[in-house]
Amino acid sequence: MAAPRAFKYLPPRVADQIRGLSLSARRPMQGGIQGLHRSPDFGASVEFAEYRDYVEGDAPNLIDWSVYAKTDRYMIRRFQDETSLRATVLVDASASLNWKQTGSVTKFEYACSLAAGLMYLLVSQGDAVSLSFFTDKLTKRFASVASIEALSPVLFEMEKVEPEGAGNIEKALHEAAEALGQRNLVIVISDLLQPPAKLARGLQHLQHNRHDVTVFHVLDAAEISLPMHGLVELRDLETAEKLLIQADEIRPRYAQAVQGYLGEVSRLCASCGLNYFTIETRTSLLEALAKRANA
Amino acid sequence: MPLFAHPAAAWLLPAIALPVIFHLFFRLRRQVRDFPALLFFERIDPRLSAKRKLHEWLILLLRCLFIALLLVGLMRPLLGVHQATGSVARLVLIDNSGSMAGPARAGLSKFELAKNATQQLISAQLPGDSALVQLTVPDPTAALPDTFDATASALRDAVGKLVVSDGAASMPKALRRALAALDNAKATQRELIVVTDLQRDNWTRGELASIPTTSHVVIRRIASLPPTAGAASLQSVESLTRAIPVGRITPLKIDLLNDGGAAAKARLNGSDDSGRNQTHDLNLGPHGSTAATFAFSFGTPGFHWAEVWIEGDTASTATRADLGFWCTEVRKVLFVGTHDDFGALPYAISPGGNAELSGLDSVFVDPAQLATSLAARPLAVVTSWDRVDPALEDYVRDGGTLLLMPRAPSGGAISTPTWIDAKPGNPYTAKDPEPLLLLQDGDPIWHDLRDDSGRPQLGTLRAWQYRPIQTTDRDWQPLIASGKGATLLARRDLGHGRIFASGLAFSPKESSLPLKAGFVILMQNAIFGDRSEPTPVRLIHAGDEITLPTGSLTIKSLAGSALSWQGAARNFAGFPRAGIYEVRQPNRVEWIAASADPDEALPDFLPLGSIALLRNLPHEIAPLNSAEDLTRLDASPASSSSFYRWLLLAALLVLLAETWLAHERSSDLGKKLFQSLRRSPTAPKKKAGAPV
Repeated sequence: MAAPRAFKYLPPRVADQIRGLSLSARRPMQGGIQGLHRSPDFGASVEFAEYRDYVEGDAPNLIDWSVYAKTDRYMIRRFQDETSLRATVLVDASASLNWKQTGSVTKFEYACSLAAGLMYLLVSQGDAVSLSFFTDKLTKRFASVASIEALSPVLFEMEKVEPEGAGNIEKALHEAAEALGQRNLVIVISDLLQPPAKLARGLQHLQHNRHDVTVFHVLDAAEISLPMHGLVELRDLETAEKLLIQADEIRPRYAQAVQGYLGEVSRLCASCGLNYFTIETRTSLLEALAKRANA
Repeated sequence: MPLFAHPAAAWLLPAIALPVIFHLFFRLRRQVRDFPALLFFERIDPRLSAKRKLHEWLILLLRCLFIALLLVGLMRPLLGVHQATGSVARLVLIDNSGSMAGPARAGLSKFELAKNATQQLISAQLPGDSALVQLTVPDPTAALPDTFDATASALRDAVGKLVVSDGAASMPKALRRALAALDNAKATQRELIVVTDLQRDNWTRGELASIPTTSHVVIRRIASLPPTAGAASLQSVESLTRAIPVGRITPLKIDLLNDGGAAAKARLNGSDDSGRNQTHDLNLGPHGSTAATFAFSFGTPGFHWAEVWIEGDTASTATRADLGFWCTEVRKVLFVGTHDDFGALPYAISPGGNAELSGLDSVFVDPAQLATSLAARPLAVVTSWDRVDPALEDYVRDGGTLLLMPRAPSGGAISTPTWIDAKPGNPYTAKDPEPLLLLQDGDPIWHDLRDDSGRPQLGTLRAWQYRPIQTTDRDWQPLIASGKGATLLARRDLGHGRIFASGLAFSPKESSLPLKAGFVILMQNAIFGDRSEPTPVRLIHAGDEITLPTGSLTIKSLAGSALSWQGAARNFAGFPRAGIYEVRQPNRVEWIAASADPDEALPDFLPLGSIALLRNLPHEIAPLNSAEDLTRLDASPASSSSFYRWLLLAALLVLLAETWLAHERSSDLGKKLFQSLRRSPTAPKKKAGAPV
């Protein structure tokens, strides 16, 4: 009997490392089954929520008799419901992610590893998670899975996806926002190479639909520091547009522009109440996931 | 077609493309890299690429322009003058001096190249233009027209028949002659083109005063190949300035020089008019010199000639010398007295007892018959101090040579006539032989007796018996003295003649002088002497100016370069080549022996820079590398010179612009300066707030 093949994006060693982490949503979630996350509904958890007057039709066993003894009123004690969450991981598969320089993997591979880790983490804690790839639209969608067994085919399928085409994050996020029904934990993994104003519109759409949105901004360190010298002709991976630069001459201004851009995106996400993390491809997966887990 | 003073610089014109080649090379070498997005670059400056490209191309253009301007400037463009209307009178002055026989870079001799270029220039003349050709060394064999109205074909043919000379040119005279001819030409423009190799010797000799001329002067320099092989030439040939007696063996010293960069193997040949040949094999090291001696002797009175030439690794010129000799009958030397009175002297005057070797016949006469014998004008008279005849004074004053000596054995005190102004002292017998000193190193009496340092050498001379010469006149020149300071041989000139006074009796019993080999030479020098005397023979270098007797002349060559000329003496141009020439007039004949000018063999040429000789004459200097160069008709020196300066100035400005642009691009100097000025007021605050 052949040994089971290891997942490219979730090696056993990584799975072991991240098993102890947990993810939660900031907002109440509406899951299908009992879970670990706060629900907007009342339920049978141990966490007290409120008292209300008894109304006809309520089960008599819900009446708090000690309150009745003190106040001579029929009051019903209500508890917070706990539910599982539905999460959606949106991975940018545009051509710009197919690039590496300082990291050992491309940005896309790193994004996929991050997505796999997140899905594994969510499934492990009993939540349901779905996965979608996007460029300028949602290009590939996987059905929601809630068990490790069901996650395995998804992980294998992920390996077949290749980053290509020009990206339009705003448009893809609009499409995702329309496609997602209930409250979801939406995790966007992308290099966010789009003007911040456009990004904002897509992310605000998700936020508006009451999704709890987390953004992982994946970058190669070389995109920030431009570690090249002399006369360099750059070719845009998405548009094939070319630009001749004198790297040494332009580096300071370039670094300034990148930092300005990152600050702008960070402020934007903060103003929308989003979780925003800048992750370099040199960062270990455990560290990247821990950022979100501890948030 | 534009003319350039330095067209060789055109070989560098491809260098204009160097900036473009470097640019393309570095563009090829640029790194091409994929990058996720150009978003951030556009945030810096969306126009970056276009601006940068414009900047680069501008710098590239400036660099190419700089090199182009520099190269065109170096080529020294000569602005054409033919835009003006009117005819052009053009005089080509061809340098035909001996150095022009040397090779030019075009594979021809320089003279051949000059001829070809002149012929092409004549052929390329425009209708209405006229031309004249002159030579720097006048040549009576050249059939060149002397007016500007000669047909082009006749002029071309005459140029084709020109032969290079063996002589040196007098450039000031040649230029004055040419400019004078040009100024008489009927044309609206006048051009003097001098085709020359600018041999230093020719172009630094003489002075050229300011000449008011409207002619445009262009010097076209033919480059000379440096002598890499052996190049032996005749540096000098000793010349005789007096007649020689029949039979006298006359040795002539010949100096040779190798101006080549390699050893020269050559053969020195000599031949006289009677067919006697002599030869010497020579081996001269690079830039080395040597000397050889040929002895000539002629059996009949009258004119004789000889030729000396070298073969083998020779220079292109100065390889031939023609010599003329005037021979007289055997000359007599009178000895007043008997043979025994004069010790060994008669043997030194007439070795072998006759005139076969020296051409001098020793004749002994009785003192009483001396006056009669003097009528035959002997070459010299030798007498003892006590036998000075009064007739000898006139003889000496008329050019005779008198030798006074003590008779052996010596007698007592002797008185002498006052015109001699010298007398012998009492006989002196030294206890020990006294060494003799030779004085007056430069005196002709020591000819052929000097060593390499120029000091006369006769071996160790000693005297043990002599009469010291006592003189009162400062004209007496002591030649031999005893170790104690007594004068033993002295000389003075009297009238046209000279007197030798000797205190030595030339007897081996009194001194060792007669025993020395140099004694014969010494006495021959004293008696035959070195004084020049008029002869009908003139020795010159080819090309030398020579004054011939006025009247009608018939000149023909006896040896060497062929020449046959007849006419008025004032019309005779000169002797341009080595040879023996007879110049005959109805009542007289003289002979000219012309040798090649040795200075023409010197491989020393002026560069293309300024020529000091022409500092008073506005001119342009340009190279002549091929025959076609001369057909690119000439230019205005003043405008060309200023244009050249404008080009260099423009190149400098372009260089400055390029430097500024390149620096501005690389360091963004202006922006940095502005930012530093703007930051400077807040800088101290930043420092104060910095963490410690």
